[in-house]
Amino acid sequence: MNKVTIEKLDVDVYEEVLENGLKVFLCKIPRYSIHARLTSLFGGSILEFKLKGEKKYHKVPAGVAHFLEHKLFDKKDFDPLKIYENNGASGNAFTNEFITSYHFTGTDEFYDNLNTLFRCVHEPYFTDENVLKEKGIISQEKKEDMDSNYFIVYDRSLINVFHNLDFKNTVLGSLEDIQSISKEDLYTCYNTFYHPSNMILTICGDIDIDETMKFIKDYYSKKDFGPSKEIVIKKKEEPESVVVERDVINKDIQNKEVFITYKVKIPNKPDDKYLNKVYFSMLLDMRFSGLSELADITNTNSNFLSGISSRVIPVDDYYILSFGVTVKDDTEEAIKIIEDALLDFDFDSKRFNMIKKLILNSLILSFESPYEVCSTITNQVRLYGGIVTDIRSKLKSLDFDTFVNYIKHIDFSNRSVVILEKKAN
Amino acid sequence: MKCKKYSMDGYDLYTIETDRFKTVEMKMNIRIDDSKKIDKYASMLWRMLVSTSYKYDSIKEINEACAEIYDPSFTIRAIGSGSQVVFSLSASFVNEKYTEEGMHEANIKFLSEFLFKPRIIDGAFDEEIFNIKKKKLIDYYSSMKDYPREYADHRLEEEMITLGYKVSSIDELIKMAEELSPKDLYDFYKNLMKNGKLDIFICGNFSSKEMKKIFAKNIKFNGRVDDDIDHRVFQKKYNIKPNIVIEDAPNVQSNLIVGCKCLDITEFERNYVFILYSWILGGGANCLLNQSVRENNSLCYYIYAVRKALTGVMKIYAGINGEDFDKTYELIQKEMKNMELGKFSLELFEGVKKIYYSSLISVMDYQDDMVDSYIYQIYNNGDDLEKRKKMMEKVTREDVINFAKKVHIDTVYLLRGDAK
Repeated sequence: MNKVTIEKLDVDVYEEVLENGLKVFLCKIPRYSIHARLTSLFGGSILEFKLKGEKKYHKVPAGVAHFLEHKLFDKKDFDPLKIYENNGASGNAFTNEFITSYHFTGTDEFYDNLNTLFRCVHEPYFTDENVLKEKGIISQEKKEDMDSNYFIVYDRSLINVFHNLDFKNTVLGSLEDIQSISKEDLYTCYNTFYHPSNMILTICGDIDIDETMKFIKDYYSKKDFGPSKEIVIKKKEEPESVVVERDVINKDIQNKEVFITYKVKIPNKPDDKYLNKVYFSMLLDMRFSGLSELADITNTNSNFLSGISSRVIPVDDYYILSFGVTVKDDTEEAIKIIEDALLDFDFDSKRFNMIKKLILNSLILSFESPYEVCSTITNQVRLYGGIVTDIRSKLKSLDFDTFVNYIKHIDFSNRSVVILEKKAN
Repeated sequence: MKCKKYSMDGYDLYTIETDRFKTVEMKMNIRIDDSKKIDKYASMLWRMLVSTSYKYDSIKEINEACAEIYDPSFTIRAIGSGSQVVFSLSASFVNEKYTEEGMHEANIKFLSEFLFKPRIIDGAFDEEIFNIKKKKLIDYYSSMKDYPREYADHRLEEEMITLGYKVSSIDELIKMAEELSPKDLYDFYKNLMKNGKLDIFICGNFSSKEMKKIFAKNIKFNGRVDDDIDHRVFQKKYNIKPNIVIEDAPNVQSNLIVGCKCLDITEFERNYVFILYSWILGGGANCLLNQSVRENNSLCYYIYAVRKALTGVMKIYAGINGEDFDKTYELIQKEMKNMELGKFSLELFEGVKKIYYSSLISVMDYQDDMVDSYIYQIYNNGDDLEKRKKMMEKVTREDVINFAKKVHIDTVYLLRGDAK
């Protein structure tokens, strides 16, 4: 095991790659609850793939990663959730565009729960009957999203922004996708993406590091997953342009929903992927956080019925920057205010330093709960290949001039707007 | 975990010392008797308090001041707690051991001013901001139907009388908001400060003595002093033939809520048996409703029961196809009957008990849970964590079966979508 220390936070993480390729991260913090999370690097945006050596790519319906997540809880002779609950723990899972994570949190019977997590993920049992049963359940999950104004515009924005990337599909898929998923699709995905070499295990809480690692190794020493094979995701060229620049959806609603997406080529510099993302995110902090002028506009302008939500995610070679807001009447005013704020390159170094201080401050909070620690480690391993131990030094190195220069060279011209509103009479 | 109580200048201060966290959690709660009149003011008041300041002219300035003291997070809400409404300022800030000395006092002073020093001009709330907030509140009420689950919940509350009076309809709320003036709201605020009961809870790695000094120096309150407030509401009757309300909406999914009342319950049942009952019926993946409605019949993605112990009310929520309403309702009734007949496994009964014990332990992992645990004890004359475990150990299957006979469906609300 290799021990790494998160700088200035008094947090140690023990890491090891098992013989089967599973990346294991153990972290002891003074909490009674233990959170454990087993993550497959398979999410909703991966739909065409093969194992190295296979001739043809497999093509699966959208929503299959999420469907697979549901079905891994269905077993022939045991019920993972029942075992968790009987141990006083709670178990669950989630799927996003990039990963599927299975997890539990509990204060007792840690090893029984951990064994259950492993069995839940590594013992698939898919039948035509249980796949059919799940379609009704997942369709209802999808229908809830279909009634959410936010998801209506978000889902449409994906279609309008991406030409070729499978990211254009929603994680749940459409109702038609859900109906079309078969047992064979699930096994194809499972056999490709659920080899331990494509997975990350993170555990955090009041654990005995050596005993826990021994338990993990004992379990995996008895399981033969076969040799790990390289996964090839079909490469799809994605133009810088968006597909649809403006789209209006009609629904019988009172207010209007605006969703704006910018598709931005990831800048080459800085080379450090972590810092590159932080600099980009600082743009949002500078222009759209509570410290910006926009905070007062949304508070005092009666057209704005919500604050402006913002999000940035790296997808392939792009940063996808999105904004959402609910307005009373004037959608154009909202679009203009957001665009003007984004393209205003007259930055203030005082505010930059204030935000830098707050980001450093928030770092302390991200290591306060087992759930947050596992989440942070998993994301860092996925995005940066390992734990970023020197986050504090990196954040302290953030420099105003570098930031201004970084932002000034970004092209924000590829924009897609989706509006949801009542049909005009 | 030890909680110390200090009688301060017009209020009670509760300090909870723990060295397990890098942050400090604080709640300042002002309780006042609920009555229909409060509908008119509560939503506007917390919106005004949280976004205005006597000292700062804008949200940006407030946030800049926050940044100077290492960015505390805070919110103010009016929360129903049985017979009371609690105006609660809830905040979290980094322990000064990780920032700089004096930050505890700076945070407490800064945060408390939102509650105790609002922006008042000529005996009324700032009219300009008031009018904007009022317009936004009216827009919020008018567009509630855009948020089906929230709308359905409000509509059930309207139909099901649980607090001794009929909850205002959305149209009534709009009318009341339209009629409200900045002076009316300030008069209500003064009444709250005069008749409300203030309690402050603070949890973190600090010296209680030092904390007491900080509060003594910075906060004085002239409201109600006595602590003899009963939050409980006793349900006395229910619709023997449940009131079934169906309303159509242009949605894909239908939102079903089954409202139940618990009559003639003992305090032991209210505080312990009710928990097990609601969890066995609708509390997790293995509960009766989830197994029956979701797993065996594929009718929904979510179905769960939420209990309100103080009011003796339980609601069952499900998202279904409109055409499946009869079948779903029938299954819910069947599972409630199964509870009365004791048709639930011992394994499930013991399992939910273990979840309860586990939840008592994990209270110590979250500062807000630690604070809420003490609030529960103080507001409800409740037991401490240790005693809660002992009391729960006493609950038998028969207790749950007997309690099930006291739970009655009163109102059923369906916001029916097209299901296409």
